[in-house]
Amino acid sequence: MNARLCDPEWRSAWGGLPGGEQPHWLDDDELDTSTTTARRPEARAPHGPGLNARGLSVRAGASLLLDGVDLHLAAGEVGAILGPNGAGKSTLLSVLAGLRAPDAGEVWLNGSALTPARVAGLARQRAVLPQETAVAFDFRVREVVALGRYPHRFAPSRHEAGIVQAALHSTGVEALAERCIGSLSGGERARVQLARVMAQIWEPSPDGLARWLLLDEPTAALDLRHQHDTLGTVRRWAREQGVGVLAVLHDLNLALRYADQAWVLDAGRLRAAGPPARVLSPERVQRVWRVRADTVQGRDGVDQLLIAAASGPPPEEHARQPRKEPP
Amino acid sequence: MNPAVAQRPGAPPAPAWRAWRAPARLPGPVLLAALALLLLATLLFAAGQGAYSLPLQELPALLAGAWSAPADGPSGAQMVFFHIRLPRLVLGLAAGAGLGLAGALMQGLFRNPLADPGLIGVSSGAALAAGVSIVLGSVWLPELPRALGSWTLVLMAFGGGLGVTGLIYLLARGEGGTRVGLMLLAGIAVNALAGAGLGLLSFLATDEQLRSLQFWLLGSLGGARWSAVALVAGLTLVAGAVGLGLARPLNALALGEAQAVLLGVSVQRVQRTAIAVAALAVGAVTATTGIIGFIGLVAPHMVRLLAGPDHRWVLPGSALLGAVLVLLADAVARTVVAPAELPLGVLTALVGVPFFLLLLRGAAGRRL
Repeated sequence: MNARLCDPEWRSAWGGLPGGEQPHWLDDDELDTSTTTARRPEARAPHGPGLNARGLSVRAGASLLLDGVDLHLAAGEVGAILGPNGAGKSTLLSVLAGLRAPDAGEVWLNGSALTPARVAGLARQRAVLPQETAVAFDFRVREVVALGRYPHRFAPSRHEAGIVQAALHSTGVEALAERCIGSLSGGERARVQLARVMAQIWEPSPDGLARWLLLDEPTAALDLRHQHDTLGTVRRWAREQGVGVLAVLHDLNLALRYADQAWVLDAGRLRAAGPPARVLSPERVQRVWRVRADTVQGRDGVDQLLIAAASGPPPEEHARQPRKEPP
Repeated sequence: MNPAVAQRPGAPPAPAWRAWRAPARLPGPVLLAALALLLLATLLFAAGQGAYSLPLQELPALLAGAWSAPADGPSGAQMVFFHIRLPRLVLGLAAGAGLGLAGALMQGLFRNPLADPGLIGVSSGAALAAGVSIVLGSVWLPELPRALGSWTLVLMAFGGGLGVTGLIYLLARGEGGTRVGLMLLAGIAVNALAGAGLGLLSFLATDEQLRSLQFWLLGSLGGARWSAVALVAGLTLVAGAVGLGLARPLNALALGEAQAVLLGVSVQRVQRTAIAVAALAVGAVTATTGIIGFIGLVAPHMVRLLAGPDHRWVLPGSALLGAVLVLLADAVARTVVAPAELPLGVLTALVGVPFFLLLLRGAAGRRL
């Protein structure tokens, strides 16, 4: 992200920052030239393929929920939106999904601008897992997952029934298929909803455009094994099918293990962007989350954070006015 | 198929107790066929009941007689059947279907099984508007009945129902769905206002108008005349044709408004259509029969119990079952104290109120 911001070509494509100037919100240690735009040519053209957001700001009354957030995610990658409570993560996700219009900035998906009028038409390209999942009436699990196929009702796939079954299988809720959704535990319901949003974009769209999966805290209600199963499943989906996955996560170690890109939000502003291992340094974790952390290496060689204790008040340079929590 | 996620290595099988299945459900088409047969049987049964008894075995002769008019004019039985009994049956059919469908639509719209046209004040709003046009219409708008004829009442009732439905929907609609407590409280307020309004109207009314108003408050199929019946039946058919088309969008809406939008449902259009169709059905029915409560609550609930919450079955099923319930209630209403009649609304309330209280006590109440 920052590498792209510092790339003159990319910058001119945005028509934004004048040469040599750093965006005010980027920390100095964010400068990283190892990721060049050459590796991701589509990044040069903000309106090209991928999920692009530029200068997103959202206002609620007097407070800014989002303040000039930029983001680029390529198809086939897993992105993680990180940050403390009330940082604006869910607001950002709902803007990217097109549910909420930003007060400033714009979102481009698969090369075209996301406008409220287009939201419904995107149903076959992107699916969004909500944080709160309340289904009215006692639908059965299989019926709920089948509702994900609603956008395909006029042009059904040849495998409609198989898709629902496979989606149930992919999140491990096959055995619950005939249960009523209201009788499930919170974690089971979350996995059913994940199966539903995956069913929504199960097959590549006929026009060849990339598919996108936006997940708002997909692991919040899950036990340890299902957290890893879930993120492993969507990452496999990203790798093998080129689906772009963007997830709001609270567990930094899950982001370190499964995400290709991470964005750290704090009080509506982007504090850092880039590969999670670089973005989640112990120093930044202490600044943003105010907990002491050490980086340790897991048995599989993946960096993980070991949280020691909550640290004191934030360092001087990051002291901020308290902001209103988003609703 | 998707090879990427077809395999989940290492996922343990779910424990056996987790594989517990919900109670069996009837397949939707089977339920609809059964309800259609039940409706036919109810029609045949109800045709014979009443102050003037018409045995079932005489029905074929009666129907045949309609085409070959006997020389000595229509018999008494024929007069009763074609001018009193049959319009009443058709009115009961249309009213029950309209109320059942409207109840199912509103419950889908409000995402809650307690939304009922009677409980949340749509019926009484329609009745109040109709009452106003009866009592005050000749004073304030004498031209209106002349210009619109028999449509006046229906249009006024439709307007009243539409106003109340829209108002309560705006009030009760919240971030995560309908605020049910607000919905029911607003219904109490509207019902109280309509009751007071109808009371005031009866104070102002002439004796003749008073009789019509009384009829509004209690509900009855006694006003069945072919002209009015045809109007209600036609409007109910229109409401049914449009309403049944909302089944799939209403299913998606059960996931919440945001998810419905993301699935490609034009949520606003669906909501407005559902409100208009429900108000049209309730308005047309109420203008002709007065307030018949609880059909819109009981019918959809029973259909959901039998066949599950899929609106593709709940909407037509509620219409069929609503018709059965109204026809049965009316058959009872005109036989238990024959030759007098019990008001139909009283009977449906006798059955509906305990049912509603049970619902409140059960799962639906926990979500208040």
